[in-house]
Amino acid sequence: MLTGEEHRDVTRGTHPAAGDAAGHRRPPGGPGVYSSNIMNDNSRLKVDVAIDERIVTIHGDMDLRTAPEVDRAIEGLGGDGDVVLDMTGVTFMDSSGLRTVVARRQVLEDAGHRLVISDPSDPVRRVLEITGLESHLDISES
Amino acid sequence: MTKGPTPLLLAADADSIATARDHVTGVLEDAGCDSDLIADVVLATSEIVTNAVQASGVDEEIEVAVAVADDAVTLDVANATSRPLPPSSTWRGGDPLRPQGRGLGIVEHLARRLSLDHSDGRVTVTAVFDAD
Repeated sequence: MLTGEEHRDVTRGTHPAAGDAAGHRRPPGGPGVYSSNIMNDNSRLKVDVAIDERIVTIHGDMDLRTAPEVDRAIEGLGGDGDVVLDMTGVTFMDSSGLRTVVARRQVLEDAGHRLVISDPSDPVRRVLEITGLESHLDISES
Repeated sequence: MTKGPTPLLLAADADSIATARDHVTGVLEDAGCDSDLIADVVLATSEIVTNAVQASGVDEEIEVAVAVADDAVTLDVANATSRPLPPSSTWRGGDPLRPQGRGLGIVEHLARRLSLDHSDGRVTVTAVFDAD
């Protein structure tokens, strides 16, 4: 179903409009942070990336349509260290979402680093349990 | 068996997967199903419709039907395809960290019964879930 109304917005903190020199509180998307969204009539996903902290925070549904957004976010951080995937706000995930997590974990592991899944939501936990992946992934609870 | 609402017809594109989930959620909520059952059927819907999207040509449609009875929820997903689904022996097991191929194994885990019917260039995947 092509609605033609998809809103895909990438806000980068390096944009001159982000933050100001007087030290006021930065608006969302300040330096070191960027967000990308898929919001249309059907699919809903928001990804926040804290570049220095190497934390990717996912809000919404991870499926075939939206998982590539998460894939790009993790890939964009490069392979120089661990990456934390904050999955508290994941409202749905299926095997397409899982495929991205497993593939990115493998790339990082091959480079000697970890992909840490932080605080998985119930829908994420359920899929990890069903597929037997729970004991094969790095999961942290805060 | 209680008759479900009119089947939903979807374009074979990736945005249809969320549309199918929303449709199934609405039908099951209206029928008063509990949230765990809804979560299971919605996850299965996502897996089966994802396979259908990937197997279908761009101009083809995918039909999603869900029916609620006292003791069971029945989900049917039909699409035109020339590509057979993977054999059931490959749905589960294997290396947990394999890159792909988990979808139907997840559905098989969630459903009481999972069946595939190939006829006249169409495949219909039927999954039945315990509702009691």
